[in-house]
Amino acid sequence: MPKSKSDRIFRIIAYASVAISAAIYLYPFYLLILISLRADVFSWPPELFPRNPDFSGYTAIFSHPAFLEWLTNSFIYTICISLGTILMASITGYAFSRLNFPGKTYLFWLILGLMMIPGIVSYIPLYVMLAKMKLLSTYWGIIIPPIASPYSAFLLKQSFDAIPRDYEECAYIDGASRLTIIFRIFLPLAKPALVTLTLFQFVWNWNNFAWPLFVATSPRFWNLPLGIWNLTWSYTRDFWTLASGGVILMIVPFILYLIGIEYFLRGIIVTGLKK
Amino acid sequence: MVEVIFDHVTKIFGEGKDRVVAVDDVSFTVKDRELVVLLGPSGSGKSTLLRLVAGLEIPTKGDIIIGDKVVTELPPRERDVAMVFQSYALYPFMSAFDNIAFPLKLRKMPKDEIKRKVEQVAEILNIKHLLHRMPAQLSGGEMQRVALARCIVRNPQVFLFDEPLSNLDAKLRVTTRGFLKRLQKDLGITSIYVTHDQEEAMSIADRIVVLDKGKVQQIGTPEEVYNNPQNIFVAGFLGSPPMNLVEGRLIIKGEKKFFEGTSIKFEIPPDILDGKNLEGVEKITLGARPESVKVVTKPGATAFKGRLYVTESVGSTRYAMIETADTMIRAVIEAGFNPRIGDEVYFTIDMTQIYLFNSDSGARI
Repeated sequence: MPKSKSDRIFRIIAYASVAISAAIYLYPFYLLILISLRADVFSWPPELFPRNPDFSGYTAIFSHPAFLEWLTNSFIYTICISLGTILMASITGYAFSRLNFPGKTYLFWLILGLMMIPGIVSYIPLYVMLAKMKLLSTYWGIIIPPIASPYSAFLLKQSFDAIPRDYEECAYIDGASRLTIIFRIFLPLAKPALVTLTLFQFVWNWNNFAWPLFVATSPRFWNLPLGIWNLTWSYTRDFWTLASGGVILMIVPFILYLIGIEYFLRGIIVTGLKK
Repeated sequence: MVEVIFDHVTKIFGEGKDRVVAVDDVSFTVKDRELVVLLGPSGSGKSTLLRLVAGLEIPTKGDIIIGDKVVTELPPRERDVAMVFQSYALYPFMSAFDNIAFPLKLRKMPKDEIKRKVEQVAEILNIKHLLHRMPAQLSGGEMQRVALARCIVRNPQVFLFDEPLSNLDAKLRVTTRGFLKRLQKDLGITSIYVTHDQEEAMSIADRIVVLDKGKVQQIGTPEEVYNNPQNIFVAGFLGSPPMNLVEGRLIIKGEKKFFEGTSIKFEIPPDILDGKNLEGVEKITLGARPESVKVVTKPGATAFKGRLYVTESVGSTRYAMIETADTMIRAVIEAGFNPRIGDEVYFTIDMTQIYLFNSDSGARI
């Protein structure tokens, strides 16, 4: 098909829009990196290419005696909460998708309702509860409550609903138990939703600041965001070090994004080829 | 010895106004090594019966016995049955090998034994070269063989087939059903096969169970149900093209008995009704297969009049659809005779090949 003039104009506008949106989106990140290197971005014209990059913010964080502790905590929280959430959400999602039990509809509406409420609303009651259970500043207290994730259960329930019954009935006849069906048949079949959920979970939990701030009352249980925040707070806010911390925190989600985009693109290609 | 016994099995779905009796007091026995086809239109309860054997449904009343064990309440995995689904239900994220190996892996069989068994079955089904492929890379026929292999590899007591051929194209369907029948005989595994296709049922079955509205209509060999239908439903359901069914009345004049329809009237040959209890029988239905109805050129004492509606060729046979005053009759056209649409034509019925049914009860007279 020969390209018409209007077609070309449309393409130019489309590419320009993409470029502008990308620039708007990426500029703050670039700014963050510049500030972390102590480039003077607030004067005019802003220093867009650091003349004397200063890594002292990074060294301040990396050399902090508690840095490894924060990092370890971050990994523990992220991995445990994410895996726990996926496990719980798989079973909950399966139950809502396939089992019949009294009050199922009402319970499901309750879960949907919970999704509408911002999680932070529950922090005070949870704090009181954990305090009474003497679970504040323990791994259990930090890890268990966020595992109950209505959004995740909802997401998996929806994708389980789309799985034809033949698969599970076939597995059932072949001798599979319900748990086998959930983890060896349903989860692989719901891979697109599962990958999305896993990425969301990792990024959410990695970046989570408010929850540990509430329940990690002892510095020993701080995660990386909390540690960096407290490190940069002495008499005045040290923006440069804070920016370095921001960049460090970004690294893990960025790597995940690189892995994830590969998956997403493959998913799109595969579904595109089928029928 | 593995028999499957249905003992007064009833299955009811739903309650109140959603109540559906899917299977209604069904009793029959599938003999050891036999291939029984459950044949019926959609909603006849044939798939429900199969699911009851598999354990995917529990009967409302009655018992199911496999071998010498009552399995009515047992979960599927304790029944040792294998099922081929219409959709094949191959797990798309596993290779053909892993799909076939799946039931063995669930049984925690050692790896080398799994490999040996899968390869052995793949050999039988001629799919050894496909084992490394993913289901998306297989054709319909290949997917079906992999699904079959997954069932055979477990060496189950009973095979269940849920319309296994309906997703194949017409040509492949015919070759596959021969293959399936031979495979079933070679393996000697008691099998229950569900289909709505009477031709498929006739060609593959040792015995056919004809079902309608959850009730057994007739059980017998393909020849028995074809040549000796017990009621109007079976007569009309089996055979392609289907049997002509004409409503009329039974008129008794002394020793002589007559069939009196709107356009077809004749004296019923005495041997057909000899010794039959005709008390209270008034409305009757005449059944005649198209093969025993012939289009003739000239009117005669035993020829009935009609108008040619259309002709259709099925293989070497040409059929005429003849419009009479009250019904359509399908009849064979002899070679060399070429009536045109709208022509007045005559047809004769071979009286030795007719069936008579009580129109009210549907039962054969």
